[in-house]
Amino acid sequence: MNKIKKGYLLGIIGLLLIVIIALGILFYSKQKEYKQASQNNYNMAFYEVVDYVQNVETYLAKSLISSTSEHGAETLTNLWREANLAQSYLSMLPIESQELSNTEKFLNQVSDYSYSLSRKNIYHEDLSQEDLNNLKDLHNYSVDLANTLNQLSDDLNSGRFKWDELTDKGTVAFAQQVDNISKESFSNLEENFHEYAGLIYDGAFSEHITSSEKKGLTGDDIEENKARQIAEEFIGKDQIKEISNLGYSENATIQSYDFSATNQNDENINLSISKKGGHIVYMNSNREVNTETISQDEANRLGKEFLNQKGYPNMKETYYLKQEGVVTINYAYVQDDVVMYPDLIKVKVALDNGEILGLETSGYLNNHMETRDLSKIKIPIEQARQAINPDLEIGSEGLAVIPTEWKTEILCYEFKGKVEGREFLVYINAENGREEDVLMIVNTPNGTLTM
Amino acid sequence: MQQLGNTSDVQLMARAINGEARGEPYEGQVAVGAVILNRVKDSKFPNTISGVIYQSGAFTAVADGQINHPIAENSTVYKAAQDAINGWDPTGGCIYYFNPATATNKWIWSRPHVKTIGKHRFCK
Repeated sequence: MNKIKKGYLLGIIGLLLIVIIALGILFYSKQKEYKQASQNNYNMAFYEVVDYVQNVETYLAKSLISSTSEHGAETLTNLWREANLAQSYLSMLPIESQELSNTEKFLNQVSDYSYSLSRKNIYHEDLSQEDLNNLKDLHNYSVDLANTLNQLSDDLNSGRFKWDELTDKGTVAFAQQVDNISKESFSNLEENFHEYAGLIYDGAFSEHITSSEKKGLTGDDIEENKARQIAEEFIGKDQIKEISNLGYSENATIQSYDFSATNQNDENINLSISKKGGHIVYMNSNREVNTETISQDEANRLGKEFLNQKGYPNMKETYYLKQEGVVTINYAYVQDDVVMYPDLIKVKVALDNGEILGLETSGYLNNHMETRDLSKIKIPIEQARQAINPDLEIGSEGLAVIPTEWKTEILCYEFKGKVEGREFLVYINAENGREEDVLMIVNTPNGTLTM
Repeated sequence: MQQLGNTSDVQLMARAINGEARGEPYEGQVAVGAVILNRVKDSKFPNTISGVIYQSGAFTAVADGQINHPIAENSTVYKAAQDAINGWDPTGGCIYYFNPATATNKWIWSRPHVKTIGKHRFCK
């Protein structure tokens, strides 16, 4: 009896052991497979980076000696593409973002800068001596970068480091040491850029973007008490149940005092008031809206009325987007019938009762001017009309100031029209007649968007 | 002129916010979305929303799979993502944030602090 039981038990234990071992092998091989797959991905990304950086180096060298603007434009377009791809693959490597941030910045600026220079070439403008000096500097950096990458590539090929050692967070002393060696070889990449100060040019990643002057941020500095008073008045004193100071943000792009308030319905409202001039930087509330009874026209009107009341006159609605019972409407400042798109304010309107749920003024604070100089118009509208594609059936036309990627402005004729049922906006520079931009208008049930 | 994020950008960002900040106040959720967008605009980071979100080691919610956590029915993360894409930036231009209770990285403490929202310290 006992013997039978024992045998039976042993059998079960044996069976269990076999199952466990089988599962163990299965998991082990699966894990090996996954590990291999991610190793392969990392290797692919790495070798792509090596190749693209090599090409960046070559095209930078070529850009220095291109003598015609046509060929120059071609070289710069290639450079733009290669640097952009190098940058994309670089961010796929399993390395903490801050370890490679300067390398990333270098590639982004090479890409962006070459794009901006290729535009010059398209208009048959020669590169200036400064441009050539910049390209030369960039080329020197790219040579160092390519060399370091080749060294790393050797290390990888000879097995001196492995990607999983970079990603493993093991606490074993040995693993950590290996980890440090590998990390060090990658920080060599960054060392190439210790003295790289960055570039100033006409592009989205240019250095001056962050430090640009905030034209709409006018007025004297205020104290926190005054800011609180502004916040209270903005919401309406009778509406506030409670308001608390969240402190002063010295390092914010627009230095501000922040407040959090609760209204009579216990809904939370956040407000940020600029130190300079006491402007509302933003206001936001997240009330749930369950019904939509207000039309878009009515919402546009309510938003405009609100802006008027709060000291932003002459604002015109441009685009809107609805989501979960709330519509966000863009308003642009209008001066002498010219639409100033950079002076942008966004207003959130609740579609159940028309309450204003949010305000965002950073575009306005960065760019707004009471009056802009409109005397630069050199091209009559008839001539601008000639410049557009004859297939465009023009519906409306007017003047507008549009922002560029690099935070400057261009005074343009704005033509709105249709081609084969699709709506477009075409912008013709009012100073030199160049076609500056073409936007497609997309009408969706939730709003009008431009692309 | 405005380049609005497409639907898949909003959804991806909502999932990132859900993974990183689903227990946070609404303002903190918009703030996480704003940091993602500030990175897209910064030369030191990738230039697309998915590039920023999936950059190696950038977000813990991506590393540990929290980004795939299902979004609760009454969640505010979609609204937060849309507000961020529409331009609301409660962080005042930040490109980093961390939870001081769990942060192990010493480097992150050296960044200039802008403000604290909920559990997260936002910095530049």
